Amino acid sequence: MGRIKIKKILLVDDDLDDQAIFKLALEDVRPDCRVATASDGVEAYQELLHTPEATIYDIIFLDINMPRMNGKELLPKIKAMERHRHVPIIVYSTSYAIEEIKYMLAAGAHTYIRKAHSYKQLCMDISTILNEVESAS
Amino acid sequence: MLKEFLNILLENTGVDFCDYKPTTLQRRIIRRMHLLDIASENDYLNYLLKHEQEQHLLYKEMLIHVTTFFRDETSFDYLCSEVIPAILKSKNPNDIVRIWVCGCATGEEAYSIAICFHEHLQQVGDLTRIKIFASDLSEAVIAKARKGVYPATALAKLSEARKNVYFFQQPDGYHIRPFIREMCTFAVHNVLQNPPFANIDLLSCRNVLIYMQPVLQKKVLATFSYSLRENGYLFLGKSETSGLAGKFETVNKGANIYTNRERNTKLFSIHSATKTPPADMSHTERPISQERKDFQRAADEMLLAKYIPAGVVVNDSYDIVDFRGNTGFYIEPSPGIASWNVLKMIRKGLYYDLQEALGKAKAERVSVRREGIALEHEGALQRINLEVQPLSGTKEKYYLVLFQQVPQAPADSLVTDDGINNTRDLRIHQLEQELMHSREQLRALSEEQEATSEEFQSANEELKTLNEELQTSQEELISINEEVTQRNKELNSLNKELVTARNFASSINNTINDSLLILDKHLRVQGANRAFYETFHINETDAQDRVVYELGNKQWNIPELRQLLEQTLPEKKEVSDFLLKHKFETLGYRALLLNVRQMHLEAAAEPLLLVVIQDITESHELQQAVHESAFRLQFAFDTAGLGTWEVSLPDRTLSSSDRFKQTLGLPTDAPLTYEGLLAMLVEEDRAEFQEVLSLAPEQQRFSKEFRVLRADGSQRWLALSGMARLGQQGTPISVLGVSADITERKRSEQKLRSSEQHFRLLADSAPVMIAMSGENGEFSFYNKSWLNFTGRGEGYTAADWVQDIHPDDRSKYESLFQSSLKTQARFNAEFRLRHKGRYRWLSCIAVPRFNVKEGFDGYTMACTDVHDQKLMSEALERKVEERTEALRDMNDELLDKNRELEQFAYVTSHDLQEPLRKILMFSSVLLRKNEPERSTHDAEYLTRIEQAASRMIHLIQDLLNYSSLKEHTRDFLPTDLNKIVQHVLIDFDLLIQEKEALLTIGSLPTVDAVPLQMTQLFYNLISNALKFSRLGVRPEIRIAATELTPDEAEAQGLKRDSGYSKIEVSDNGIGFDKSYSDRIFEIFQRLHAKDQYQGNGIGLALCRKIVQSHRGALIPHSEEGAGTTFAIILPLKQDA
Repeated sequence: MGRIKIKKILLVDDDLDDQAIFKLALEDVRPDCRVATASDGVEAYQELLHTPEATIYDIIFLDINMPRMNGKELLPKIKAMERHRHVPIIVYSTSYAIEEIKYMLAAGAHTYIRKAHSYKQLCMDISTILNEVESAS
Repeated sequence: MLKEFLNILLENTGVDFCDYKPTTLQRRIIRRMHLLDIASENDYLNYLLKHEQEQHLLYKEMLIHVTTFFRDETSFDYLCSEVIPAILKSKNPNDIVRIWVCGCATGEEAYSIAICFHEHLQQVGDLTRIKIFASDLSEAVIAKARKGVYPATALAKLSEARKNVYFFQQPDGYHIRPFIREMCTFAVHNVLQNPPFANIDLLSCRNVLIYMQPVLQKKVLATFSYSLRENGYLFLGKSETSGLAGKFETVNKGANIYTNRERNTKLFSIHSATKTPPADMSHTERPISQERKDFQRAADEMLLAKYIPAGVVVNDSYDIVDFRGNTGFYIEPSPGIASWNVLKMIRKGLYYDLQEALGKAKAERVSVRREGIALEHEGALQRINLEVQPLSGTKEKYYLVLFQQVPQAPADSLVTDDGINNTRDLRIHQLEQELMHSREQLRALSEEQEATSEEFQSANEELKTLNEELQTSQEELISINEEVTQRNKELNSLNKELVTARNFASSINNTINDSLLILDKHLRVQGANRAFYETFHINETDAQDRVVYELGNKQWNIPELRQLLEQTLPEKKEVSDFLLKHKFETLGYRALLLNVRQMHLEAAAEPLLLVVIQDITESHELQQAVHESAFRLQFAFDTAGLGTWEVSLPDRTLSSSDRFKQTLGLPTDAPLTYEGLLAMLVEEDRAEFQEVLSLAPEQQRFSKEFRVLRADGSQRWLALSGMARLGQQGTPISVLGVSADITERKRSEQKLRSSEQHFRLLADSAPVMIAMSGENGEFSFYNKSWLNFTGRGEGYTAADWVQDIHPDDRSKYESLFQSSLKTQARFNAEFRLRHKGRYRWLSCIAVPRFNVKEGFDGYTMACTDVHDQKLMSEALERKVEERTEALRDMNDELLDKNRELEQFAYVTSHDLQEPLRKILMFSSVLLRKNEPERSTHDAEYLTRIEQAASRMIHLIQDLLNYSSLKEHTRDFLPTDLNKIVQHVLIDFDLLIQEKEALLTIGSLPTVDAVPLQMTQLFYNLISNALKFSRLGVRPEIRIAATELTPDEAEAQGLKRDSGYSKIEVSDNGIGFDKSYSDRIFEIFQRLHAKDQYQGNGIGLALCRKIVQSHRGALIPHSEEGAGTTFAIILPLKQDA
């Protein structure tokens, strides 16, 4: 079980502000990581569909409430894709709705983090999750 | 002939009577023949062969069972007083005493002996020591003996004492008492065939042997000798002494008691003796099988057979027990009864020699030898040497008898020189000797005969004298006889006179109607006349000699009669006209008049009593009835308060009873005349009274009410009723009648009338409709309001008014009325009743009436017109319903709105949060980036933006939580509070590190709760504890749980019984004043300035709401500057 270093991250979130802050925080925590973003499920699905084998994402952060195709719809699709079925998916949302979270975890999501209210907290969250996934893989 | 009978019995019963005395047997057979009326023995034999029953009877006849208790008293006395103590004395206290009663018949003998032993109880000690075996041939008698029940006659000879001690009386006879019965064992046993009882101390065999022939007797006695112990006692009957010689010694000749001199040790020889010649003891022990003989023994035998002289071994009574060699020449069975006695079997020529030799050998215990006994055999003369040798070393006495034939000398050598034939000489010598013996015997016999004849002569003399005496007596008797005849004649004539007199007397007695009874001194009936027997249904024969009280099944046992006869009479000697009233069982009630006189008859020493009984029942009853009816009449008058009066018609004189005077208010002794009575009547009534009296003779009877004026001025009502008494020719004599004071009745009648009027007035004037029914439910009264309402007149019946009820309500009312009538219960009814062609609603109450005596008296029903009210209330109800409907609709609308609002609030707050979060984020990003060109002011402003935004986020979140905390969201799950707290603490990691807070968390329970709400609760409390820490003081937070005691629960107004947990969250923070304890839970209530401590004042309100929704309590405890403790009280289990 060698420690796999996470290099490529896909963030699926329709909120552009959040995209920006996530990128900032990741830059602070893991400057060596590259983040690709998708603004909704359709975009993310297209991206994943065309991702070459060599540049497959190491982790996916997935929001729930999104236009066109939301997280709940996207997740099973990802899990149905042979190349991406083992990629850890982190539910990343402001939602309090337990039912939704339960659904996502049942559909194969790795874990769930709430969108933080402070930058510091966000940095901590990202760092914790990445370390956890790396050590578990 | 006898043999054939015996053979039949042997076949049938297995008992051989051959050896019983033929004469006895013959007698029995003849007796049976006699009973059956059979003349010839042949006929009887045939009869016997055909009838098995008869065989049995004959068998029973043969075994005579005659016995009594203590038979032969003298013998028994001796047995009881001497023998039994002697036996007991010879024994150790625990030794068993064994007694055999052989031929016990029906057991009397055995029980007698048992009684004897019991009479020596002190010496016996334990009764179980005594074992009495009682045996008999016959099963039937043994069965009787076992029962131990005897008729009174069997006990006649017993002393009263013995009877009482050893027997108890029952209807079927006298029963032997169990303790005697238990001493005895009864068995069917044939002494001649079955092995005997052994080790017997006392053997009783009475009157058994006499039925046996000597051979059998001997055999039995030998058996007895075997059975008895040495010196054991033998108890025989009278005249049973033969054959005892040698074995038994007399103890008491009179009592026929003997002791066993020497015990017969071998039963074997006794029993087999009659069947097979027994072998010598020594011989029988020798093995017979040829193979095992050795040659020496074979040689011995050969020698023994060839050279040892023939002989026999005999016992002390000369019975042969063993034969040795060929004895056929010397011994042969003698004719007659079979016997093993050597003297009976010996060849005739040897008899005397053998007898003598045996006698000598026995007496002197020496061997005796007789030589050269001449014996003629088939014409030749033989010489025999005889030797009797007592056998030594044997237990019993045996004698060996040896015979030896002297070898015959050749004929020529027998002739001696002197020419005398030696053989012949010897024979002569022998004959001479025999002759001598014979002579001696003859002499002895003739001497005996002489003595006997002398005795006979003297007896003859005695008889002669006796005869003479008898003759004189006879003569005397003849003369006496003549005298007697003479007397007899005289008596006869006297008797005739007496009979005539008696007939005369009895015919008088029997024609008298009164009963006559003659009693003796002991009140026994000596006679009575026919009237007595007939009147009292007593049987004449039954009455004779009975005590008078016992007559007619003791019906005469009357206490008064006893008193009269036993006490009054002896004093007064006679009783006249004594009235005896008694209820006889069969005759019923009788009144009897008794006259008793003493009669002194010449013949009777004691005076007799003549009782004359006159049955006066009827006249007595009549008299009684008259008395009674008079009494009743008086009683009736008295209780009814009736006075009586009589006015004689011609002269109008008045006689009256005291009561009559009382009703007039007069003293009883005051004189009251007809005129006086008339004067007392109210004036208007006087003429009427006079008219009534004068009309009375024509009328049957009259009854009128009159008013009288008493002396005190009060007016009374008097009811007078009566009738005329007519004389024989129909002429009126007087008017007689009764009077009653009816003033009270009149008054109450008056009252009733006025109250009735009162009631009608009341009822009619009442606005309420009133109707009344009788107890049968039919209405009979309607007041005016009722009649007005219905518009009907009087004569309005039940059916009419019920027809007025609206058809829709009628059946309901009727069923209600009928069911209420059954239980006589009050009821309420509402129905529509026709009123001027239209129906109006009535509300009615029907109340049952009860009077004192008969109970239910009917219903009183009161109805009011509720038509308008009814319509009004219906309208009201309709309106209320409408309103309710409207309200319900409004409520539903509100609920919908509420739900929308909730949704709105949720969405809004969620959407509000987002921009705030962004503001927060970006400002913190800005702050992080330490731009050099940024002024300190800018930094401060950014911080303020951050803080404001942060506060707003929390505010929104808390509001969201508070509003979404609703009753219906309760979803209790078993929740581990340890996990909840740990989870919450993760959120505070940063803060805890910052403040260097010290947390102590104890073990927390698992409770039924909503997990998210628990998280919220602990989040808020821990957050507060961290938040309100004192400056410069390291925060210490302690969370610990304890179980709430029932008392504490009750103090908080919680259920006492359910289990609660108390979780305390305490800190060492700033605390607050106690007076704020309630305020802290109010929403948006803050104790501190915003800049001092963060917060929005919702947290604790939310906490309390959560705890309350979990049916618990949240209790703050704080002191300013000393820290705060929140006690969370939660039930461990939530009810479903």
